[in-house]
Amino acid sequence: MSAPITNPELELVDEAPGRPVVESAVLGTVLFCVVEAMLFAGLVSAHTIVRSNAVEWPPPGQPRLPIESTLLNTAALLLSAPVLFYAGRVFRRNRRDALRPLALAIGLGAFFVAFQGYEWLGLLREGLTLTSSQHGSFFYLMIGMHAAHAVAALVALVWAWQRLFDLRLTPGAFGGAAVFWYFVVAVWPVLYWRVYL
Amino acid sequence: MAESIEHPGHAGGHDAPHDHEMSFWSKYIFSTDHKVIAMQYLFTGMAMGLIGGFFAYAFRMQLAFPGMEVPGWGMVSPADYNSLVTNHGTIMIFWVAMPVLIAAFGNFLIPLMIGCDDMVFPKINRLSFQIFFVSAIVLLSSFFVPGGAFGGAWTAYPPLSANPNYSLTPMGSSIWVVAVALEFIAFLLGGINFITTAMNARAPGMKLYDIPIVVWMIVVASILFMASVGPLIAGAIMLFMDQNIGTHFFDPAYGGDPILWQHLFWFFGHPEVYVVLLPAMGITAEIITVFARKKLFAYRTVLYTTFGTGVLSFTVWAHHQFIAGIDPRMAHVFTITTLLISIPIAEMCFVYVATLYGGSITFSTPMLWALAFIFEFLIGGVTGIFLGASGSDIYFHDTYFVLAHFHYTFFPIAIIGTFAGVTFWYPKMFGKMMNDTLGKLHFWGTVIPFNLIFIPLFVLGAAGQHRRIYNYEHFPELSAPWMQDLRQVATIALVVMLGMQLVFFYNFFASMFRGKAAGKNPWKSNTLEWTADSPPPHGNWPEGLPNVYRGPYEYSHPDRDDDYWPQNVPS
Amino acid sequence: MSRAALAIAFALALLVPGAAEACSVCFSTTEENRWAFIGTTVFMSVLPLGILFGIGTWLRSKVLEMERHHEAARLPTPPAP
Repeated sequence: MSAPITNPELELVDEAPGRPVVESAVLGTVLFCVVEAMLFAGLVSAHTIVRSNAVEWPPPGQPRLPIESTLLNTAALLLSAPVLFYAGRVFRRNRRDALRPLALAIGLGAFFVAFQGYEWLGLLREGLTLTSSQHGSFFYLMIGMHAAHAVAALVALVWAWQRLFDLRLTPGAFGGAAVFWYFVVAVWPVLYWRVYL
Repeated sequence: MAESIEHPGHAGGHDAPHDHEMSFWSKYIFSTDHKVIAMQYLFTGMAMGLIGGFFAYAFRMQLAFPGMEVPGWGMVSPADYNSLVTNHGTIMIFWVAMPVLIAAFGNFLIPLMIGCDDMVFPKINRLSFQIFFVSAIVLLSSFFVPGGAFGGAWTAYPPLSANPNYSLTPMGSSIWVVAVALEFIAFLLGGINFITTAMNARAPGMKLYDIPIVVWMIVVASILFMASVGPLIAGAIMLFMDQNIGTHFFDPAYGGDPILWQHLFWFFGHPEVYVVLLPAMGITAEIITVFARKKLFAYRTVLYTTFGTGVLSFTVWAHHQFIAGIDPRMAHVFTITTLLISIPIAEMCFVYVATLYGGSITFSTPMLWALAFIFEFLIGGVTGIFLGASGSDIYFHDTYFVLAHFHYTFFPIAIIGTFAGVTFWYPKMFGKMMNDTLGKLHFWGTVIPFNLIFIPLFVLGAAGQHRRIYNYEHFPELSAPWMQDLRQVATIALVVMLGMQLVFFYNFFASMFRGKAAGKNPWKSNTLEWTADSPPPHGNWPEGLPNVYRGPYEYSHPDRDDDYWPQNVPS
Repeated sequence: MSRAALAIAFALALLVPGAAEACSVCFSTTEENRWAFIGTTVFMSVLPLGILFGIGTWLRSKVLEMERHHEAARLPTPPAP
């Protein structure tokens, strides 16, 4: 309870001010996720409005999105959240034991991103590009935005795994990375519903 | 903040590892100290304010004396006029009001007022300023690219902003979008810091209701910013893609929707008004209690109205689209919510007046600014009622009435509120007192011309003068002699007001060297920042952080000899 | 009927101004697009408030819990006046 002086560059004479209400890294990430949630809300709303303007959706001549195979992908992503949650619980009891479930969560996330990229290649071949139609523009914008977040969150998780391997991972840092991944998982079903279906 | 720190530490990337004396660079440029970052924001904001003011001078001269060679600028071409107007608005809101009110005062006040040594994420704080500084450079660089700076107004409505064939600024409009997006990222990082710090680093004993109002308001403003900026970032990305990649999100010819941008923009743009208003309101609250020597009337009411303002501010944005095309069912709802939001703001004004009532008031310079803020902002708020009602807005839309209205809100916020805060906390920032006579001269020299600028514009707007017109001589019904006279009155008042700022800058810099030493607590104030040295050293309270025993507004307590009761004094 | 109910009924009645549909600036051609605007407007209004309300409630409970358990221990008792 004495550690969290806010600026590590300082050495103060006195004791630390007090216990944080929530771990600062977790609270900071939660606030960041608020911004990101509103970012996706803006994209989803924009997509809804442009889609309602269209005479036909998806526009004629544009390929169908791979609804079924993405369902598999979705399942992998959704599964990673409880695995990560389990890793967090293990982490609190015995740090070292969390390495394996954390790696599994990272693996599931990596599968999601990789499979997504594979699907994109197929769609590009079939003629769905960023500028081919509003459908393509929104697809690559929204799904690409989500993919960028997923990659960033994966980097954070891999970093956490590395720190955990060195036994230097703090609960706050783990919580922050986990919150960001939960956010990535939570946004996906909304995007799947709005963009794919 | 000299000689106080012996150990620069190993965390800062730019610290010389073996050097115990911090170099100029690590102390003032790459510092993680919240006070240094606050000063960086303040000075950058001031510099941008000078640029924005100069732009206003150039285009106002063109309006008052069309075709004149403007001293300092030259001939103002129509393209110049557009980019000057656009960048005046952009700079004043995003590069003056935001950095000074939120970032400078937030950085300076939050750790000092809640009694901790620094922000929770000091390096993110430094990164925030660095991104902000880069964004300012990026914006200004757009004046030097082929085609010139963006001229599609600070709201950047497509298709004008999306298509270079319309805007004729192929690079300028993209640079504008990039600069604004960078600026948002900077404040996003700052906002995370403010909220987390206020939550987690409060001094022992400081409960939620012991936090000074200005800290609460900056925190609520940061929350509003964070929750509203996302859609505009999304919109900015879409606009950038429209400009550069060839998508057609906002192009109706390809199934896009230009109104969509207006919604995305104003979803952020209207809460933004409250983002900058709340810190100014909080600064006013602090000053009024100190110089009325009275407890703030109804602390919790102020707090709850602040939250109420925040809640309502998310439900008013579409009143900017009453003319652009909006479903009448929505127009009704937004009229009602827009009129409702005047209630919490009015309540704050009443609370401040009630605080003043029966106090022993000292008319010092900060107090004059604070009182002027309430008075002038009230005019801005009341004229907003006409614009919030969708019926009358159809007439007033895009006239100078709108322009005068929002200048009567933003000028009190960004200029009067800032001067109130700067003159009030100057002793703490620099350890010296400002000259009071020069301060009062500057006050009257700013506030009187300000009214002389914008009252004529209210009249002109009500007479139907439309905004964003380069030369009114081309419109016979708008170039009657009395109208041109009013334009010249406004422009001359602007020149006088800008000239009076020289008094401020002289006072500001001369007092740093020749001002009277301030001591720890020159205003006999209660809040924690006045218990630190002036200026506070690195770490704020090297002898140990303060404890808190009571709320921040215990003035003129009947049981005490002193008429103030600092938060850190046990009894 | 109470006054509050009357006020609510009045406010609800304002939501159906059929006659105003003749306005010159009503832009949208399809009813679907109009409802998309209304729906997303409601969504965008409610979402940030919901998120902030949730986070605010969570933080408030944390703060209250902390103040109950730790405040007494954290703050040195003031000497008797």
